[in-house]
Amino acid sequence: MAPVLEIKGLHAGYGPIKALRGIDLEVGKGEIMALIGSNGAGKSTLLMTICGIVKPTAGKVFYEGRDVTGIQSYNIMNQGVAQVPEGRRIFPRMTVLENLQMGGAKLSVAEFGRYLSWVQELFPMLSERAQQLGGTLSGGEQQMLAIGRALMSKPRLLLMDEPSLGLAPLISRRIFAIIEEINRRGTTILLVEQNAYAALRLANRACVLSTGEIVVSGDAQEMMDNPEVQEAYLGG
Amino acid sequence: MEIDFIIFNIPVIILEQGALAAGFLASLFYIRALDLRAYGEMIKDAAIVGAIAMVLFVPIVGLVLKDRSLVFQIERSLMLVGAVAVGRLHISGAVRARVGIRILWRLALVGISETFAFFFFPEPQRNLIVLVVLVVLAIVFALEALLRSGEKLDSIGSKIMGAWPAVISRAKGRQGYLMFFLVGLLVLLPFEPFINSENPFITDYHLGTLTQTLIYILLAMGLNIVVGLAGLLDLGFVAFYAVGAYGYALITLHLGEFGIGFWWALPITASLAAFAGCMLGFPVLRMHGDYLAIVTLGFGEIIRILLVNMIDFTNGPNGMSAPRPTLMGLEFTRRAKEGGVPLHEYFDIPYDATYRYVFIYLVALALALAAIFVFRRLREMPIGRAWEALREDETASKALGINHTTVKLSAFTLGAAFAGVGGVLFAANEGFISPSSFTFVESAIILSIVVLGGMGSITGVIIAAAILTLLPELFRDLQQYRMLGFGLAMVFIMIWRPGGLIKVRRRAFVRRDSARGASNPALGEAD
Repeated sequence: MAPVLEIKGLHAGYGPIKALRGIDLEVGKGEIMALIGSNGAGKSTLLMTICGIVKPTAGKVFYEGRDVTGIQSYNIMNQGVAQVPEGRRIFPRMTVLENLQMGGAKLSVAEFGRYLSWVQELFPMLSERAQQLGGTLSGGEQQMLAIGRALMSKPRLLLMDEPSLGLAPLISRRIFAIIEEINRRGTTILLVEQNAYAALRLANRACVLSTGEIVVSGDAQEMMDNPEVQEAYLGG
Repeated sequence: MEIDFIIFNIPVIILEQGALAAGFLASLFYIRALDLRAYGEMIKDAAIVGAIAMVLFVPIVGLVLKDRSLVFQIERSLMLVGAVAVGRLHISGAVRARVGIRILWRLALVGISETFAFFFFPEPQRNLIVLVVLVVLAIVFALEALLRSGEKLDSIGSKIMGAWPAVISRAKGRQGYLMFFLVGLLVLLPFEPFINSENPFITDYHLGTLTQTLIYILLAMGLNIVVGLAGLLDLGFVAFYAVGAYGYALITLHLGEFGIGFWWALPITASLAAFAGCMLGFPVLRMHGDYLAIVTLGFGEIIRILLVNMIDFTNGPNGMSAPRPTLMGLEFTRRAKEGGVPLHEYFDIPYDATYRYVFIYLVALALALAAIFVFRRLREMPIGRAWEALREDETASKALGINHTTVKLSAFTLGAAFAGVGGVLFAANEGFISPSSFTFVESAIILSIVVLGGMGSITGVIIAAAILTLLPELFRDLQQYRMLGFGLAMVFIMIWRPGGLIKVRRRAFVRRDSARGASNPALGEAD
């Protein structure tokens, strides 16, 4: 079966800075792929390049077998890709419900209602605070809103950029449980995470990104046992 | 009195034939939508109302004083009776039908009354009937739009708007009545001098000033899209205002002979201005904040300098005269220019210079209300939300699949179209335009209206427009201190109410879903 996402020799950067130097990656249908790496390794750039927000300088991105390299972001995102951007980036002066609407703008009324109740079931907080301005939510709530907003677009591939960033351990554990739940419902997930231990426990497969290149990749369980990975990312 | 084809020109005939066709279609829908008993009731209602109207109108309107003797002219009263009966029919139909069908039904009404008029009446009255029907329809549309502007979109509307699942805030109860009352007051206001002709409270000067206020409201609604919703700081908004005004003057000058007057100029110049907005939009797609402000400022100046220097085309700094608007080809002057017919002669009433002020005021009021309505709807439509999302966070919007190119361009385009309409009104109101009316100060005033009123707000912007145009008129004696006061007002507003006079509030509307027993939060915003 063709992978949901296939990346071949991807290069991208910002002017003279080369953030990605030949990434090869495959994400199979229904799996959770964890992408770990230190700061500045190019993880977020990779997600932004997949979404078409950063334009690649070389290489190819295939989504569900179609070449989506360098096309406009809205053309990619409207094909069933969604991103939970780093740092949440919810719309602070719009209400929680309006934030969710922005995610589900392409849905029909019936579908919107269905997805809204699903998302509100996952995050009951989002229905309690539907009328509150996004900017007045706490960090964890904003993260849940960002995930909910991405889910509203009915994604088949969900790109998540550091969902546990800046969250208390208890909240981030809840977020990870929800990611697992989303995946169980059939959404393929590419998870970028600094918290390598939690990410590897959750993921089926994983790869390690370092200065724009994939240095190790494989089964998540194997990665956890890999002494190099343990040393560099799991704190020995 | 011999009158040539004034109203029966080609565009109107096309419009009416279209209305007839639409009316035919509407009747097909209508038959499906209503059962026969409803038809019976509707006709009965109309007949009763018609009979009452007959009793009232025959003695009042049917008797005409002519050379000291009363002449019985039944057709005059029949005309009115017919209009009333058809109107009642329309109301009964309207309350029974859905919005889409209601619109078709109204078009049908135009067709029906036109046919009716064509068979039974000679030309001048025929025109008057069509005119009355059109005006009544316009008023009904406007009031209904205002009252219903918050209602949940019906199925046809939601199909057009891409099934947006929002349930929009409802202007309900007291708020709706207040709005109705205020609009009614504003509509009736200009007729005061005719009732109170001895010592009128409202003079031509007042009407002219109010018209200018309404034009500013219209402009501010346009800029409110660009600055308030889309968050694109535009310091050259006056450029589109100028495009509108000069567009009107040039179009009527060069195409006047083909019957293109005020009414045709409105949509044409609105599209011209919209095009100009789109043209400005392209180069600034990637710009934000300060850079965007500088480029738009430059664009505003470019347009003004072009107007000054293209002497052959725009008559340079000497300016151009702009024709006064006409009512379906009828002029508001004492004596018409060659081939024209003055309004007072056509309707056989004494001449009064106030008619023109009243007319422009009403047109400006209608267009300002339309602008408010459009703005209100836009804000709640997917495109409006997309503008706001883009203002909030461009990267996040892109990551959600929002087409930032079209969203930004549409903000510039639509905002500019509003300004184009404002420009036409300005030119028609003043009768003369020159580049000195379109300087940066004008942009600054429109921007201050939006900022003072509260970005994205409607009520606040209306109040701010009224304050910023009426106060300088009140304090004309202190004119040299105007800018000082202006600056002080800005500073104090920014200190005390940084969100503007009336800050946009997002309010919860909870729709009870009885079927599931759960509350289904819907959203809306009010200000």
